[in-house]
Amino acid sequence: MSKKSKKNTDNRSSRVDWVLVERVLSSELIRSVYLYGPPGIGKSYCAYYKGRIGQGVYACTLTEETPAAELRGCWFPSGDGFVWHNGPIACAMLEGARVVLNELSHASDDVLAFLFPIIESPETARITLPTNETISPAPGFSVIVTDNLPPDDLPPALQDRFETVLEVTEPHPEAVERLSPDLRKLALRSFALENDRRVSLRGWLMLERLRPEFGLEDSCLVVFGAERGSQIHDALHFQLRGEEA
Amino acid sequence: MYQKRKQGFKPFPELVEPFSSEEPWKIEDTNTLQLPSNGAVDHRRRWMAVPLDPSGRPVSRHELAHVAWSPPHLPRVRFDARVLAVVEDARINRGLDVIGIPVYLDQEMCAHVRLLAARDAKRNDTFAMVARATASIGTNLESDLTGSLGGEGCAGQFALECVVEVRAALERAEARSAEGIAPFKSGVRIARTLARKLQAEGLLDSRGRAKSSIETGCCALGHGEDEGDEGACDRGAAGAAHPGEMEIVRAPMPVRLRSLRGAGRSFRAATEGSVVRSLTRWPTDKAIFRRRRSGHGGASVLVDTSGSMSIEVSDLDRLLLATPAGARVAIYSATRRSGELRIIAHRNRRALAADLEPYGRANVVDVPALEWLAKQPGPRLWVSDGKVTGIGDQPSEPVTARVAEICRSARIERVATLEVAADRAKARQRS
Ligand SMILES: Nc1ncnc2c1ncn2[C@@H]1O[C@H](COP(=O)(O)OP(=O)(O)OP(=O)(O)O)[C@@H](O)[C@H]1O
Ligand SMILES: [Mg+2]
Ligand SMILES: [Zn+2]
Repeated sequence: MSKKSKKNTDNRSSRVDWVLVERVLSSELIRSVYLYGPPGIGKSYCAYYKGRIGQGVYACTLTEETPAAELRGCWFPSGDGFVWHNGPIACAMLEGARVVLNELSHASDDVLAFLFPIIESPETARITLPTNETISPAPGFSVIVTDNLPPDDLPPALQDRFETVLEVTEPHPEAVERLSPDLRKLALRSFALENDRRVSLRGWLMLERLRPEFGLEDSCLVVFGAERGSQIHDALHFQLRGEEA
Repeated sequence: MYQKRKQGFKPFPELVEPFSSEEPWKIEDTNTLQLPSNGAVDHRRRWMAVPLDPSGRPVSRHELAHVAWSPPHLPRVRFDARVLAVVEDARINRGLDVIGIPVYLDQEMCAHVRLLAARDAKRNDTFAMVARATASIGTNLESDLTGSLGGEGCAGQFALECVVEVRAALERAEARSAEGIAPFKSGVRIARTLARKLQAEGLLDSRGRAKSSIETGCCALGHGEDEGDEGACDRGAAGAAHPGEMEIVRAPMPVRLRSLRGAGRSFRAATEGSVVRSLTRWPTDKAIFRRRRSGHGGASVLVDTSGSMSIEVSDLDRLLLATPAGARVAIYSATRRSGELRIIAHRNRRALAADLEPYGRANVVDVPALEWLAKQPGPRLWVSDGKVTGIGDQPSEPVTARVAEICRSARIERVATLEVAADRAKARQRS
């Protein structure tokens, strides 16, 4: 459950909307955010482009195979010796920039352990690099995690370190605006579907882009694959017929 | 892919209904339901059943058209409601043809409907002959069914006449409408005219009811019992059932498994990194750093989720909670002829509870499933009550013998319950 919705005291909808997410991302008070929701609704986009991004944004997408060294930095062979390269997290800490970590739920234990001392209050956050240099976050440093899953599967102590946990379920309205009105009307209907049939905003945007060149039927096949694409095409055809070449 | 397998065939009635609603439709697979037809729709319950396989597309189109163009309930009429239902089917099939997504049934479905039509004729069920041919108007079966009516004597001639009249009336109504689709009201009028004709022929009683057994929930075209000699062809020549065909799929695995201390952890040498492991490699390949590699090894568990096991999704979910990283877990079950093996945990990730629903209620594919297990790393556990079958869910000597042989040669251990499997998997991994 998001920390936010617990605070709700009146009976307004407890849904977190994008306006609130953007306020959180702009706030000087909040330095760690866990943002989760279904695929393709604009979480990464929002983390890259909204709020306090003046001091730069570093982005990493984590997989099982991503080692912590990739985030911290590592020695590179150079001539007969080695030189140290700071990774994105070390850089962001030094520069007071934002780090966006996509898909934290995919991260290895190694990466999770590395994040403990980083997602901390500024007084205690610090890491010592293998160069023996100890760094702590410069003012402005923030960590934004975007994921499809709630943080429930993270180690409890790591969960606890996130100052804000926000769930968004609807696509970002600015992204929906990019669809032409006829597709937008249908896209809005599709976002409420259960996971199996949910058509992501990413899919709709792609369809919008391909439609003029490929026509409705072929762009459905290209974007959604043969089976889903046929079903989506047949449904769209009821509303969009006549436009097909 | 698992997602694509059945889910990919689900239609989108939400996108075609006249008014938008927050509540999604529930889509079910007619292959796993006991319905009299291969498609059905219930507006009020927001429920739709279609075949979730490649043959289902024309059926889905037809049902979508009901959602888009038919009223939520057919109005009450003073004649057999089935007459209105088949005229409505004809009206929307022609509408689909007009907008460019015609109902084009595949060979197998056509053959099935032809068989049902022949059976109607054999039973002298003239009402069913009229109903089925009317419902085929606007589909690729229309000319086929009307063509064969010609050879069915007087009853056939009469049915043919009815179909020709309904089609002509629909065509007139279409010509008058701007969109080229006959309005529902015209459909009701055409149905009333047809009912009068049937009554004059003595096919409807004084209350307008027909004695025919044809059912028209929706799509009268494919209605008809499916009994018959099917069981016989499920069995091979010698009377022994063969294993069914099986598809291997992977459920999406978004969730991490807990790692058991010490299990499957290893490092690899790398030329870049921050932790020096072996300086001795410097002169050779310079791979002096160590890098974490995610876990391998662990048990392989295969779970029979057929009906006789009565395993609940929540039981499987608990098994997965207890499964340490590094194990792989698969479930299998089948419908009458074919089945699916679904991998639900692999390395350090597992599937969500929503993807643990069994594929079907039968066994049928025990042999190919165990062949898969035999190829996985050991120790190998098979959770099953030991009842194994082939096509038609029939036990058979060759299947039983083959299962015993695979278990022996691959050293597969059969355990009766999930609890035992979970304990065994953990114990083996620690040792
Ligand atoms: N505010 C926006 N304005 C314009 N386009 C946007 C906006 N937000 C998202 N998009 C577009 O929507 C698409 C999906 O967005 P994004 O990658 O941020 O989704 P996500 O929620 O991070 O998805 P995932 O969970 O799969 O990573 C992108 O292609 C992006 O271009
Ligand atoms: Mg993203
Ligand atoms: Zn129908």
